[in-house]
Amino acid sequence: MKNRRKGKLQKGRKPQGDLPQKEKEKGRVLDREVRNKPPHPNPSHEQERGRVTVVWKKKNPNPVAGSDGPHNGLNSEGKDKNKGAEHTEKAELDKREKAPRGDHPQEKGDKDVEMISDDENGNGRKEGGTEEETKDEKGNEDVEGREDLVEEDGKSKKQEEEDMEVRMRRTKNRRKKRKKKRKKRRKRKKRKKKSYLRTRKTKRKKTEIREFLAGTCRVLVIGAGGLGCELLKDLALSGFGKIDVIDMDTIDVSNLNRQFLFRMSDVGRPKAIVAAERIMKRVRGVEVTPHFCRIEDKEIDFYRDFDIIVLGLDSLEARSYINALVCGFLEYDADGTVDMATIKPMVDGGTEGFKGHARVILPGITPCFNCTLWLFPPQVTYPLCTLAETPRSPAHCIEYVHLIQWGQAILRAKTYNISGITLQLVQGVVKNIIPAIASTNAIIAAACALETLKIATMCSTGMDNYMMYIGTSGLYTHTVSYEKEPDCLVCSPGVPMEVDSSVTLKEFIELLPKDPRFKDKISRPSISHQTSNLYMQAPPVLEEMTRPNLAKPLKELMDCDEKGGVLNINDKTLVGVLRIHVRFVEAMTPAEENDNS
Amino acid sequence: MIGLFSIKQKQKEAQNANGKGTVKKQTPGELRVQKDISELNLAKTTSIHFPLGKDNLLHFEVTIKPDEGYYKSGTFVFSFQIPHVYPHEAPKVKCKTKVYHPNIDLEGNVCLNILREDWKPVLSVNSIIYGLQFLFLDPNPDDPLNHEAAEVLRENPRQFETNVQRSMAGGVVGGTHFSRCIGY
Ligand SMILES: [Zn+2]
Repeated sequence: MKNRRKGKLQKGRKPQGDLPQKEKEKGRVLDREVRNKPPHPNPSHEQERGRVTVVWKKKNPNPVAGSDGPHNGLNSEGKDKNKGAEHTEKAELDKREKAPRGDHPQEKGDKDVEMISDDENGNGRKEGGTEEETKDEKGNEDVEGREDLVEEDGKSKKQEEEDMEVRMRRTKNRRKKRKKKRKKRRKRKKRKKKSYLRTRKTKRKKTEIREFLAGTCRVLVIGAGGLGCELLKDLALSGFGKIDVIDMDTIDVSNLNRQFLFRMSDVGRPKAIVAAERIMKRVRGVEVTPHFCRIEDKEIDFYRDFDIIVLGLDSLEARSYINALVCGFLEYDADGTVDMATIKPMVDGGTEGFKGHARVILPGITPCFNCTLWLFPPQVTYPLCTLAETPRSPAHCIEYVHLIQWGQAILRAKTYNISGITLQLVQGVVKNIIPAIASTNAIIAAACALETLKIATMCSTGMDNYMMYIGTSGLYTHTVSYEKEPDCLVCSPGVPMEVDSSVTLKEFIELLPKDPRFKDKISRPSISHQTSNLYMQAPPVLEEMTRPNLAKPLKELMDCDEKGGVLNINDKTLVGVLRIHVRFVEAMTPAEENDNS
Repeated sequence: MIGLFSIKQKQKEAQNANGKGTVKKQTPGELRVQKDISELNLAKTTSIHFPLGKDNLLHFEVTIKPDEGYYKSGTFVFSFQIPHVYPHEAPKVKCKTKVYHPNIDLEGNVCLNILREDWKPVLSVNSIIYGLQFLFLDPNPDDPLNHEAAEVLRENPRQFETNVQRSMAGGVVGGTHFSRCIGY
């Protein structure tokens, strides 16, 4: 049974690629469009883009014109004229094809016009390029010719003429070939244009996407520190218009080197608030809502409101908290497949010195934090006695003060009438000893912002699902597709079990060992639901506290709607915690019950 | 995703209509410690107590009353703070009772290898409690946190015993006042 479940869950990763056909198509179209136009119109950028691509496109035909030049001026001139005509024709065509696009909403129209003028620029540029190329080819010919002269000094004119003929034939052939190629290329281009035209139909959708990004899609950035500053900037400039940021820290002088949204005058102010102000000042039309508090201070429903959560955190604890919370939103069908609508995508970035990672978590589909907890190295700890008695390294001395003498920090603060020393602050101060590298933050944040954009717009395939970056010696990145843990305590659906909605906790506990799936696995289960312990077999204190629950109906204890929920089962004979997805059904007739047993 | 978002929007509205409340989940740390606790195998000398009620197992207190050794008949309370990422990280254990002990300092920091450098996720709350019991049965002067106590134990075990008795009775040892922890 367990094996079958495993198989199903491992396949569970598939849905990412198995999205509805429509979605897929949309993604493809988007992909193309986004490639042609960056989502945010940055005029100078756009022009550059246009020019670069156009130059690249037109450069290829150049050699043809070039080789025409030196041989027979008249002919080539005619050809060039022809070519010129072709070009203007093409430009016309471009205009004609692009014009209708320009008729659509203004912001786009402007850009289209720009594109066309770029094209023309490109043409002009191309002609310049032609001349240069011509010179080059001429030069080469000249050299060749001279060599010929030296070698064939004594040869007859006839031979020379023959040679010339051969050469001309060769160039003619070459010309023909190139002409063919040119034709082909033109055809291909036309075809491309046609397909481009076709995408025009999705234009409306494109505006929809922009509007969605700017007005509907809500992104939460957790952390406004080194990563957070970069993330906020990247997201705002990517077109996200509704961003929330949560951070409980205030700005410290030591932050200013890399947390570029903050200035000297901001020291002491809350990071979230200052970051939001700065972003709104610099990026027009973006609404950044700051939350100056701990992540735990927010209601869980606060997190439910966001479409995507981006994490720029430095603590495993906080990540773990958010992970459990987001995985808690998941709902599963009877057969254990995730309800897609309950998936709240998370994008997580983390940096430490020159190393960093970016990962995409689609809870229920890709591994959650808990599935891959082993990725996080355990914290380095030193024996307390070593710290106290036989320190051998600078780290030992710091840890000693941090762990053992921090009580004295309070005394010292009291002596100088300073308030506000908390263990948290001490830890914050101590943590800053790890060097934070601005460039690592920038790279990781960029990767995260890109993934966020991809998730939101489906403009391209998302990262699958973990990218690590090491910048210590050169630049190294590596993307791994980690596997979901089938029995993950946080994101797995749990073993489905149908239970009569009138059953009491005591009856349920008696039912469990009778189920063939749990035979020999459960004898004296302790049961919990969400954050409450329904029944604990031990220790006696807890048993006593939870005993009154036994007589209560399970449904009432679970305090849920008709559907049911996940119970966590502990038992000495179980290796880990067993998750059972209880589904309430109306009372079964005795006959049915017999069938079941 | 956009399509998905619009579905979500609808669901959200439906949910709001239903008035579905917040669902808070246990963190993996909570789940694991719950398992640890339901499987606790406490000796007679040890008891556990949950000051925050049955639903918060992340914080609890363990009372140890050694029935042999230097610390016989003393009562020592340890507070356990379980991190959310337990068992990835070890619980934070402090001794709430001021004790004259070579491996426990006067602030309550405990030097027990499995609490720090030797912690492994396969260990449990039970193993820590065993470790603490062991500390009282067999104080280790070679790995001291309370230097003076360790020295006395090394040089003069008899003197150490007297000191322990005096500290547990609420006396002064080495200029430090200890509160009484015998007899209840
Ligand atoms: Zn998981």
